[in-house]
Amino acid sequence: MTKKLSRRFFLRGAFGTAIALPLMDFMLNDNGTAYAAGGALPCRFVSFFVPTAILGSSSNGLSDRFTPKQTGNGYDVPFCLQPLSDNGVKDDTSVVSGLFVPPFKGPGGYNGDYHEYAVRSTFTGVSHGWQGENWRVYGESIDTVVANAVGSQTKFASLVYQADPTFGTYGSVSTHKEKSGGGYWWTEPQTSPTAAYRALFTNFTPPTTGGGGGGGGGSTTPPDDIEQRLRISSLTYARDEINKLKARLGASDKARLDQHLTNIRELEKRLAPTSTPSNPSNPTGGGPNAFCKQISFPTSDPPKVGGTDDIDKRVQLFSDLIQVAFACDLTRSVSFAMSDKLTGSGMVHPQWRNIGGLHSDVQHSGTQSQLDDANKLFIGMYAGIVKRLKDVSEGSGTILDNSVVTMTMEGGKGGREADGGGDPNHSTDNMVMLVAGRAGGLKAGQHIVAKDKHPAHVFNTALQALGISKNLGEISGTVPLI
Amino acid sequence: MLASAAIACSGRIGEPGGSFPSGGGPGGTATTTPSSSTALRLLTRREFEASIADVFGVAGLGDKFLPPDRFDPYDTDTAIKTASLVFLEGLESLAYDLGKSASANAAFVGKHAPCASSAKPDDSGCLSIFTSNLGKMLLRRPMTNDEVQPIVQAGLTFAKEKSSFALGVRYAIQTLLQHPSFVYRIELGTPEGNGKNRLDNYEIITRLSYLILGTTPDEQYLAVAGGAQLTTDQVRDIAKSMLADPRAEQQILYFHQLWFGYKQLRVPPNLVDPMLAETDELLKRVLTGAGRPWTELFTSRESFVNQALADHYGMTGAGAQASWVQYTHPERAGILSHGSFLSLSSRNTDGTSPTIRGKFVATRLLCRTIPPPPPAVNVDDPPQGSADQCKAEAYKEHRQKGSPCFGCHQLMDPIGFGLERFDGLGRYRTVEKVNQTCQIDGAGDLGGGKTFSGVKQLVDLMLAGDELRNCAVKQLLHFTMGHEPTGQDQGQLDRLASSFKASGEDFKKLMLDLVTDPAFRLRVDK
Repeated sequence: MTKKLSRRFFLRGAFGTAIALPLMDFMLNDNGTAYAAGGALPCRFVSFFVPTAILGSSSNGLSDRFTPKQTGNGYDVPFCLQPLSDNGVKDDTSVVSGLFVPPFKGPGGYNGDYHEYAVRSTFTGVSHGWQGENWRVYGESIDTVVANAVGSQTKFASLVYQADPTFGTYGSVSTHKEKSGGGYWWTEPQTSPTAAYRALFTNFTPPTTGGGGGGGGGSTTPPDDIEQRLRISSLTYARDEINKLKARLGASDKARLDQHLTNIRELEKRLAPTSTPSNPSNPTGGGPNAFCKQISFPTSDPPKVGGTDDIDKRVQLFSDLIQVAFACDLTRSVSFAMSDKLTGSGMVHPQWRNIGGLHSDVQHSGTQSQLDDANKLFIGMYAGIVKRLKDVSEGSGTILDNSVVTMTMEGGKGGREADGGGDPNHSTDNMVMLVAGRAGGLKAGQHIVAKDKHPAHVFNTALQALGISKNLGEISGTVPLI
Repeated sequence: MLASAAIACSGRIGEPGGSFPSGGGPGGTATTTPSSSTALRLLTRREFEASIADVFGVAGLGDKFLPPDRFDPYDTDTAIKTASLVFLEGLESLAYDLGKSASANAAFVGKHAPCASSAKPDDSGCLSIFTSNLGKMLLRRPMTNDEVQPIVQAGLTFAKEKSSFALGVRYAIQTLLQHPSFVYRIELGTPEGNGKNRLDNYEIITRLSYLILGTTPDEQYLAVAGGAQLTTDQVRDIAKSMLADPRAEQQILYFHQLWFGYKQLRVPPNLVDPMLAETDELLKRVLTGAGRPWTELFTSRESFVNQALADHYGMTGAGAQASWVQYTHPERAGILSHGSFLSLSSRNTDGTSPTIRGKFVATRLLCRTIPPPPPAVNVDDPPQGSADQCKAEAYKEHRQKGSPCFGCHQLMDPIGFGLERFDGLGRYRTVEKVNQTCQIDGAGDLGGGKTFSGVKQLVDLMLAGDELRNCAVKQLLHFTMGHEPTGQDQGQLDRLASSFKASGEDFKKLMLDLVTDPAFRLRVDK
């Protein structure tokens, strides 16, 4: 597709890597699918995941203080959703309730390893099988689907962040298909905010106010690119040596090196010269986005507080990076997980530290207020991201108007006896997702009951809003948010 | 619904990392699943850190730039390590930064190439010398000319463009740090039939150095590798000299820290550091310095506690500063009395799971095999019963013959029940938390009718048999080889276990026996 465009839209790296400047969203994507009409501004996607599974329900004897009672516009704000109002983003955020992931009927009937099953199915829209002793993944997660469609247009195809720096039982919630080996893998998340910052600003200098490549980059003067050439040359050498080494190895080691090579290719793209971005907020020219700037950032990751990783600070730092990455159009797809410790098993936070763990102590056997406070904390983090995007002006609106920001949890409430359920703590029934933003004409600020729709239906709506004509996994159809 | 206690979901709390499906991540096809016979061992972050510190004299770069490792329970496990994008991005940044700083360090450059101080930008001979000398240190073997020349040619192009020889040096450093032979410990060996590959001298020296010292071999050891094929006596001499290095004790300590897995404690904040210190200090006391018997890890009747932790445990005689305090309680002994272990299964702060504790003892400390929970079982919750039910009653289904739970749970729960008199924070108790009319009898069974109550008796039983000792050997081999030992390793395990016993559990002697065993010099296709 890129061949159709004028050379002035590209800067060519010394080793032949071409990176498009921003403002390419009127282009066709790799699949030849046209973007939504009127999508002259880039559309962005954020998937935020929190490892909570439980809402109040009759089966656990607690009140649901999460799901609004009223539907449509102007829904009521239950206790847990209060941060949406506090951050001024309630009218930008829709609530989709009543979602359901059908249980997998593994050997013996009901889905046993609920946590992995529910989350993988939610994020990939694919039923996952039980193989021998393990659940296996057979699909790409939503952030990867978005990155595959639009990632070639930005320096970073996607950003995969995780606030909790220690790893849990299951890989990250982001999964991708290995281009070489054919298998599906979880994507190693970036857990260090300072490393993430370093990566964003490597070979990228935000424009100074009033400068930049307004008008599409034609006025950009190529920088002295010896630093980039030096770096890419080292990668080229590594690639040559890896290819030599491959010849001496067995099949499984070759496949591992193929992964290494695939990642080097992506790294080369990230290191290729990027011009100062033209102005996404004004396609006809003018200054760069005021939020695209070198932000002040700590030089080392937040220290532990009381023996506990400072999750709050980490979330804040990663959220700042998402804001600047979108303002500079460095990526259009972000996966941001609180933790890969599904249902928060082992995830630490001062709020529940004194009562035990998020999983068994708060979610399985916590009091109403412990459960509500944990859910509210996560909603506050989500609202903070949404607010940051709303703060950035773009065109006649804000970046949030050109974004879809989803929040996904692990489970819902209730449980179906008919499905062998009835387990108060592990239910994929009545799940709730939040969807903020107005990309592609999304209706914001609604509460929609999508009874028994799969979370992937909501992601399909997101894909449609982003102008990506795809279904997530095996699920087709959308929920009516457009 | 079947009731069952948590294993898969929360059973790993308290470990530095966790487990995931065997095969390393959700690989959908076998071709991308690293096999245990891999010839590629990605260095751990800790190994990068140490290697870079040794070669460049700069500490902290590995930790600053590279992502944390997963542990299962060992960071050396090849099945869970791949060169991910996040890792490679960090490595590239590290190489770029270090290339800049080290190439500006005249002493460092001069050490590898004295010619550099007066080299012109087009001095290919001097850049070749620098590249091959530094390359040997980083790659842990001599470089071939085919490897050196592309670096020199590209480096000189940059050097000439900017009229700066140092730029060529910088390019060489940056490139070598991303060379696959630095990033991976490559163990190709020479096939000698039956799936066995005989490692060459450099591969052997590298194995020795990372195992015993946790870092890259120095010039002296690389020089030995350059000689004739190493004999067993030479390997023993090298290993002895390495074991005399203080870093060897740190490495033995590190192995035990991973084995016991106690990095993330889920206890109130004021107890976290004292509990970590309690276990760290016991390990240091037994494993480093003037040798105490290895078994004292489990039998010690003293613990390193401060006033707050002593009060918490109900011990007397502690000072404000942590110090060694004698246990007076008859049921306490060694590491299994520590909060770091006893909080492993904590629920609702001082609730406990006999299943989780039993599983840890059975699988991690005794290397017993317990089948995974069947897919139809929700392994996430303890048995459901009424709130005031006594625990023994709630767990009854696990313990009844004929129950579908019994087969597996009899391998775990009876061990955990023997530790029930210690709550989830390590305090002694005789009644349950929720329903205080429930007396805790603390009656445990290690299997085969070996009954016990409390930590002290459990430890006595474990040390009377061979299982704990044999398991320590198996765990060490897992740590060493980067994969769980299989049936093919049984002969080696048996040899090592019998000499470990004969030595009176001398851990350094075990390391020596491990590296002089013929199997240490092989990579076996599995």
